[in-house]
Amino acid sequence: MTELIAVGGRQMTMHAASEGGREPIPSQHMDRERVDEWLTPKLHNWDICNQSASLKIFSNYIANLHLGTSLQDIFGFYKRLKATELCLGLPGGAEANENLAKSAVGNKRGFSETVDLMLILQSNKEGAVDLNNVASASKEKTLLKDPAKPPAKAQVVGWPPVRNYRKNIITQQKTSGKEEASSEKAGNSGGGASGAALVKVSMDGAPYLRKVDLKMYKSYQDLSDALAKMFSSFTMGNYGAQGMIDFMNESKLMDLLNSSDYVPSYEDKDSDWMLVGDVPWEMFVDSCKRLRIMKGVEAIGLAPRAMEKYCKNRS
Amino acid sequence: MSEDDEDQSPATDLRSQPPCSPNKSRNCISSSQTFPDHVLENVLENVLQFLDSRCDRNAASLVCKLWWKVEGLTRSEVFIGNCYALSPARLTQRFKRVRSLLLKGKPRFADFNLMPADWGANFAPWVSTMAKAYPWLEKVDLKRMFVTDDDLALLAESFPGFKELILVCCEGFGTSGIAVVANKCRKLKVLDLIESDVTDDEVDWVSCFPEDVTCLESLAFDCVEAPINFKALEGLVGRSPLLRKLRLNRFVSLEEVHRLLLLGAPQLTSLGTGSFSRGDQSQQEPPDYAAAFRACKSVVCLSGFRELMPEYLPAILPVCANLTSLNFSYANISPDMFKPIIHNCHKLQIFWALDSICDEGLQAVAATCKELRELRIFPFDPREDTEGPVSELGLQAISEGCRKLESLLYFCQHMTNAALIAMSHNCPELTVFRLCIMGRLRPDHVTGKAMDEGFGAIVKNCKKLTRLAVSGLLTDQAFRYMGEYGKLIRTLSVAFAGDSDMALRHVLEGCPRLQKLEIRDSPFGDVALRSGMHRYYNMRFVWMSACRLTMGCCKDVARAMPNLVVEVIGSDDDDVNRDYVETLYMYRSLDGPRKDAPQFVTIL
Repeated sequence: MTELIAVGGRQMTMHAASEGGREPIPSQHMDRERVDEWLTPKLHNWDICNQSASLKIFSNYIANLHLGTSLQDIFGFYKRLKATELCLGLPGGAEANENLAKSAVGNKRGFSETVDLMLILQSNKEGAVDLNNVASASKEKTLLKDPAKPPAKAQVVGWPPVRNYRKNIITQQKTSGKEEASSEKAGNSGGGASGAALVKVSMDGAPYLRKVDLKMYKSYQDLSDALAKMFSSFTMGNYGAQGMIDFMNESKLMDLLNSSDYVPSYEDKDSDWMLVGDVPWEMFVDSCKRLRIMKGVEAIGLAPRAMEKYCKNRS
Repeated sequence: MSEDDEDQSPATDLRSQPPCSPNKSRNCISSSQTFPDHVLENVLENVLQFLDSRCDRNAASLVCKLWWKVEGLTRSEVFIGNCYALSPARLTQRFKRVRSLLLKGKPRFADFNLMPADWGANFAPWVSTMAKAYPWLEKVDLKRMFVTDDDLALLAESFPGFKELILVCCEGFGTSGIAVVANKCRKLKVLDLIESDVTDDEVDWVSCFPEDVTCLESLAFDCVEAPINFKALEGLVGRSPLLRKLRLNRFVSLEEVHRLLLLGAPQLTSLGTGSFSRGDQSQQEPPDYAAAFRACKSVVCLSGFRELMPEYLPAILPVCANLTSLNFSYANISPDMFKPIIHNCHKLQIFWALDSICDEGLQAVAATCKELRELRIFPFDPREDTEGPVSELGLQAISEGCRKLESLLYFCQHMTNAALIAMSHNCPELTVFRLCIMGRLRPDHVTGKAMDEGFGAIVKNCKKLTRLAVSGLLTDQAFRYMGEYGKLIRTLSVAFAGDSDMALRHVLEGCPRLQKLEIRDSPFGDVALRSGMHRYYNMRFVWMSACRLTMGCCKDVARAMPNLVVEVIGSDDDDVNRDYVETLYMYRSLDGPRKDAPQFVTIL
């Protein structure tokens, strides 16, 4: 049996961690109700306005629970959970879960209402969930059996099959005439995927991951457009003129973060989750390891200074 | 029996050497059985020396143990299509007098980021084994291998008579490795670096060639992304009287090419023109580039144009009439720039270009290049949703004008079945047909139907077809055609195609010569994989990524076929879903699974 645990990307305090006490720590083999029982009260106590906490603490916390998962896994599970309940119609109360998820979204500010905390246990005869297969199977179904609906045109890894060597040379020519475009040429570090900055993109609610090559884009706007196309059935928030989230304009930021629109967040080199748009583009390309597109409300925890103010105003 | 692998299928007993006792063969007085052997061996050696073709040699080695042994002694050129199909030790045990090695490593889909880095294909064990076994080694030709500077250094030191180094799509080394080779291989005739990833170690490797007259016949460094010492290059060209092929990188400007041509133009048969733009814009009067090209009386192959300044393109007009090979695939040329050039290239047989020449440019090619054998059109903008300057119109024109076409690689956004059907009738000599409709799952944009009939016509009418790559919207029907008509197909590339397992089954059951199968993102699963089990020992490799395979089935295949190495390559993250097989890469091997597999590779 495999467990899928879904939590919203929330900041937690160490206070919550130490509350664990002597209770039996859930393991992967525990059944759903018990894990549910154990985890729910902890999450209710998380203080979303505590700026000193970070998602790193959260991931350490979870790791210490011997669940054997990392933060990435949790987000991954969350994504897949969303997939199972919203898109694939798997048995086991999919509709009920869907309703729950929908009602939880975008309505309240309070953490406890917006955290989607659900546990679904999947079992299949081979002891592991073949979700990727199922996900891609359903994707295939929609793509092939329904020719009227065009497939989502995303930048797929390795397609079209043009070698990096050639792509890099052409990119060089496109962007600069004579200058040595050293940031765009084939990675000369000897070995490895030459020059591509491939990151995975997951979107809450989408049934599958995508990979994008950040070097294919020149600005946040380009990336934003591409992401919008990639997950075109979901709405994307507006970015403003340069494609960067306007940190200066707090009310705009608040609107964005409180809406049900999606914002992209990314995991940087230090494994911190940040809002996309807070650093210059080149720096972002260098430090971004992974992208996650989450609902505005859930990204609240990632915008530190603004949120602090917001919380203060609220309370 | 495979045509181009140096080793036979495992059915032939290669594990045991035939008993070969030197004493017996020298003892002429012994029983009558050994005496004929000894003479026969000598005769055979003399005869088999003349056998060049791999095919013939493989056949000869199967006659009997004696022939096997003698063939092994006389084979001087060895081709290994998959470096993991056997160990270096086996190579040196079987073949004693190898002078030339051609070795291929990673599967082709690794070029498209479908495989994490550091998968393997290391040259190191090969060079260290051969250093001891073949001190007379002269030629090494590697494709998609990981070669380090240390490997190159060892190569340079171990083989005093070394003559030819060719590295195609390789990586792991830098200019320092090249410098060692240039310096130590005094008999070097060929140094060809082609589409390889060469690190810039800031070493002036061109100056490392020996000071006296060199034996260089071919020097290709167009893929080296590092500036070079031009003075040293000039000196090198000046003291290389045998130089015929020179392919410069983009750090060589047009003025510098001009100077080089004035030095050594008449002997050159192949020229890679570097950037083809002016380095020094301050000069008022540009030199007469056309005069330099006029001096190139022997040039038949032209490439380069990495940063083309189109106003200078007409300088190449003097050589156009002689050209048999022209590579414009890094030059963003419009049809108007292109047409005046191509109108002169009557003898052209190989032509590579970007799709910026548009259908109009292709029509010009069709009108002039009646001898065309190979055409490759690459996309300037390799994305899925762009307009696309070439289409079925260009293809139709080519098929009508270039009847001798043998090899095609064509990237486009839109295609029709009609154009493919026309091509299948007009170009019966096609052996390689690779069409990439860049939008996935795109149907015929005129009729809205799948591309089945078009590809079906290609496999049916092009009776010499050995290599096929398909794209666009394809149902199982297309694969049914492939299985029924594709009797000579050896390499098949499939992406985002097919409806069900039946498609792959048609191919596995119907194409008897299939050697290399690469599939991605297609709905083929366990049933299909199992249906090919009778074939896999006769194939070089099978690649299936993002299909519907389960771990259980792959394990079954691995268990049932012990000489097949079944690699499951995970993506570089911690996906817990262990049953889904992201990438399957399997190949036959005489020496069992490799020992250097990285963590993300699971060998079943």
